[in-house]
Amino acid sequence: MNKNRTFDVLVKKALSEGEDNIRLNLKLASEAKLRLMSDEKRNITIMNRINIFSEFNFKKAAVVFCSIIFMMIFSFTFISPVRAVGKKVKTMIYDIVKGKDGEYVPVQVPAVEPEEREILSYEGNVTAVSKDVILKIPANLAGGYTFSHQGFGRYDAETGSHIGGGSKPGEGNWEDLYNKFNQNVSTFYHKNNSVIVLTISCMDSPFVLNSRYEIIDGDNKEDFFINTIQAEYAEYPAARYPINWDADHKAGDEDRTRKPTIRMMHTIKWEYNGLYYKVYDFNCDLDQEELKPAAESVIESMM
Amino acid sequence: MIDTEIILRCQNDDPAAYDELYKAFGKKALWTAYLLAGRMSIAEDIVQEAFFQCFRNIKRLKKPELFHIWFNRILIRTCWHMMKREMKKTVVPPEAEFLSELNGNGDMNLHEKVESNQINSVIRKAVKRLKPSMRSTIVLFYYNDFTISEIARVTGCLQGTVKSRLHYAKRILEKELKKHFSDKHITVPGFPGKECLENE
Repeated sequence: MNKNRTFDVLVKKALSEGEDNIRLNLKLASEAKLRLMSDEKRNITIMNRINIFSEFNFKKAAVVFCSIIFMMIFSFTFISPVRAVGKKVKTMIYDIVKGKDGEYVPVQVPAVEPEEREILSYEGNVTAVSKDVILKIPANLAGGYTFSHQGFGRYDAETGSHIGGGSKPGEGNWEDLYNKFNQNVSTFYHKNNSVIVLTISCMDSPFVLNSRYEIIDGDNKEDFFINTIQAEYAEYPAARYPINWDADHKAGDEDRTRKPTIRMMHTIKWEYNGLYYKVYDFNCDLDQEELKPAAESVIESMM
Repeated sequence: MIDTEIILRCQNDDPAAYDELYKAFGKKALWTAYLLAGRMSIAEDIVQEAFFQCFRNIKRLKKPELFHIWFNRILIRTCWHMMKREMKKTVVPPEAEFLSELNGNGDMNLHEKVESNQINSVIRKAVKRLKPSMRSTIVLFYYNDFTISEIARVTGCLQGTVKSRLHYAKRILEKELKKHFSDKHITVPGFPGKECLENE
């Protein structure tokens, strides 16, 4: 060995050697860009949905209002389950499974025929969220999150999903929208690229996963009190499938034949005066400590 | 050195610029992630996530000339996050043995090549056993040629902390090397000394 080689040179050489032998996978950049586009278009889609409903075109309103309350998995892409249910797709799709190590991973499974799939029916009471409650929803959440838009929904027993519409503050006929869809309300708050969603519902619906609507419990659960209200923190897997956009690029369906990316969504939920409240990070980028002040804002506002 | 024009084009949503940026920084990022995570499959996930975060937030970068610091901060944090997740898993294969497959060093004789690979292997394994914070410091310092102040900005800690991590990491590596090789072959610079600050 050359005695003149110093320690620094040796370490530098050891760490650098092999670099030339790796090949940069250009697909990684494409997938990152695709995710970026999906995120951006998802936001555009949300706003377009809102515009659609603001104009009260209820034919278009047949698209599904996505709420975390019943089918959280759909809420990320504004997929239309009505359309998906109608299709008979004989192919392999990606579902999410939890491995022995606790990680959620995508696996390919045969697509389930719609008629073979059991619709998960809600068996509890279904009532309206009162206007008084909606009017108490805070305009801002602690941490600098400001009101962006709101969606209203109702449970559709036929498809086992929520349908509804959205509204920008001060736009559209709020009263008509409320009369049509009033069993749950989702309020979106923005700060930079982060979005917190508050959902209020008369239904304590489970978190479901995959096309088979498997109910899952959530991870890293923790109970705590905010004021006198008992709240529960939990994490759930959020699968982001690539989206096949319509020709006008205003709406799209998840492409479940393509591998999704999986991120963990953080939620805090609680019950108050017979209604079920939940706050969660739409982009899966916040943690419990950041969500807690948001939940506190809501609780204080409702009390 | 980063071409700030690429950054500005990225900030203006030029898709071609995203590709150029990835090609310019991807390989270095992938190898950094590999050195930190120890497995190429995880390194690729880290790089993909880091570039996603980079593309998503690049408009918030006010000084394009500091892109390398800004990006490496994202990369290192993504590494730490994913490594923490990976640590929960039970099966962690040993350091990839592909060092033995390296084609380089064609001008060395066989003895030198074997010895060189042995030293590299010992150093790499020792680096892998370092705490993530020390490992990041060593990788940023030796592989990425970052200065102490740049490492401090990337890792979000004080320069003194970086120096301290570097010092202790060097001592550990020195000990490992001396276990395997004759003392006289290994000259470890003192600290704080010229060698440690030579990137400054």
